[in-house]
Amino acid sequence: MKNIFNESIAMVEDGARFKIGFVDRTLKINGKLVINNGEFEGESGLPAELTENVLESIENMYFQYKHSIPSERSESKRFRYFKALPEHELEDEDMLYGESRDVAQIRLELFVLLCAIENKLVWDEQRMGKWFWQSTTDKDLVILRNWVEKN
Amino acid sequence: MKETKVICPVCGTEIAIAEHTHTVKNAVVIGKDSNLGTVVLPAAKAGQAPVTTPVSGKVAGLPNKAEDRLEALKKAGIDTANLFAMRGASGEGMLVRLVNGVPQMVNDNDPIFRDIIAAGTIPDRRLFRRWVMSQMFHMLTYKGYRGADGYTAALHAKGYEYQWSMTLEELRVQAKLAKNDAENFNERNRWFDKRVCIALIDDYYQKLQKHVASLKVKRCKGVPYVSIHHRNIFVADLEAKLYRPLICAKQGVIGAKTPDQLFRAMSKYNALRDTLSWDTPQCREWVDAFKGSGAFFTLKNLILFHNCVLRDAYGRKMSKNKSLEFLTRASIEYKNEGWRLLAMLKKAINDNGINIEAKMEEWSNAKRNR
Repeated sequence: MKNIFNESIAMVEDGARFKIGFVDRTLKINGKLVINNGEFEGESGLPAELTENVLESIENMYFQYKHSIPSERSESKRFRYFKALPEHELEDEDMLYGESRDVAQIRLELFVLLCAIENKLVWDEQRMGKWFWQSTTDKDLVILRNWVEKN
Repeated sequence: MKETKVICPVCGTEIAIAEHTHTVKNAVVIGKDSNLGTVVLPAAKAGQAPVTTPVSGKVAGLPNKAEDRLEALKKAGIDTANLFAMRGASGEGMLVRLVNGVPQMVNDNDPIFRDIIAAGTIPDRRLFRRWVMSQMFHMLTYKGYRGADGYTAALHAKGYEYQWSMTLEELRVQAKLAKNDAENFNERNRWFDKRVCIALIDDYYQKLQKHVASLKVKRCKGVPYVSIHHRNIFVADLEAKLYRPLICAKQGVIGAKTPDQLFRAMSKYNALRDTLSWDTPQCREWVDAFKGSGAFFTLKNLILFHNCVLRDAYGRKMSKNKSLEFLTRASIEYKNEGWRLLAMLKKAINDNGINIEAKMEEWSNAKRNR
């Protein structure tokens, strides 16, 4: 892929299935490995403006994801790294104008994964804690250390 | 000897009992002389029928004050425009309904309360079919990667099989609604009814025949056969093995007399049929019904909860109630022409100054800069 970040999001928008593994650093789209053990062909395509302040970008993306519109497919996933609001807690505005949960999910998870692979997100023990980082703006946003640091 | 008193557990009202204890058939009627002291009636447990006392007819579990009841009804999404909380000369509150200008007391056993208690849940009318509205808004702003944008492209992108799964789910819900919610059943059945089901079946049958005709004919010991979804069928057996079971199942749909029977018959047909490819064109009648249904419920939701109104033939804005009446009339008139209602929805969105794409952008920014 020439631009993994954008092309993966576009594929999920068109209904592709995906799976991201933070610990083993993988991205699978429609069953095919695009990123394997942190290695990939082509460019990551991370937008430069988003990587200036990574944690703030993650917080923004998380808010989009948390208020996104779930579907039967998105809710049937066995495992999710981040917690999102169930349908009955969403406001009408979220339902009408929010984006699809699958799309918001891949944007957030792929951003974290690519930032970890490209060392844009480096664990700072003083600032982020020993084992996990919890956002101060939303306590539901938690990032584990072993998602970011390669074992 | 202590005088026996029986007290309501909810409001504390003393209940009138007989002077003397006596026996009636297999039961003992307690009297004031039964030496039991003060007896508090057991409150109704969850899942049991509410306790109705013989004197006041009050139902346990309802708020006591008339104002509180009115508030509870409002929260339950019930139209309380013609209901009033009044206080009598004795100071007791009551709910009053205006019927043709004449005030009538709303009893505790009124269907309005009974339905809420019988259903076990308070309906949240604000959530009225908001999934439909959400889906419609997203389909109206659909941007396809194949170049086609807009509602019709979004509908085609859902694929051929979507119409079957959607119709079956709709029929399942209708079968349930038919039993206890006639109003909602009629609104939904206006679009997806037996006529659409039969049209869907006929359309499928034609497309299946076309699909079979396009298949490569193979030969086994010189006898021609075709392969359909990993099933090898001799060409001579196609009628008996492929088409005839479908024709028999269609008779079940035609003969269905109730929504429940229709759902079962359609499920049976669906289980028998082979799937067609994603890009097979959808049934025209179904597309019309889908457009009509989506536009109708979106318009209703917009009028009820989002302060949108419709314009009449002269371009004048109508009131909320008039808009709803107009919408209902239009939905009955355009029952078989759902696309007209979709046009009405697009016009209403335009008239009310809703720019969906701008709103999506606004939502996104609001969430980003919370």
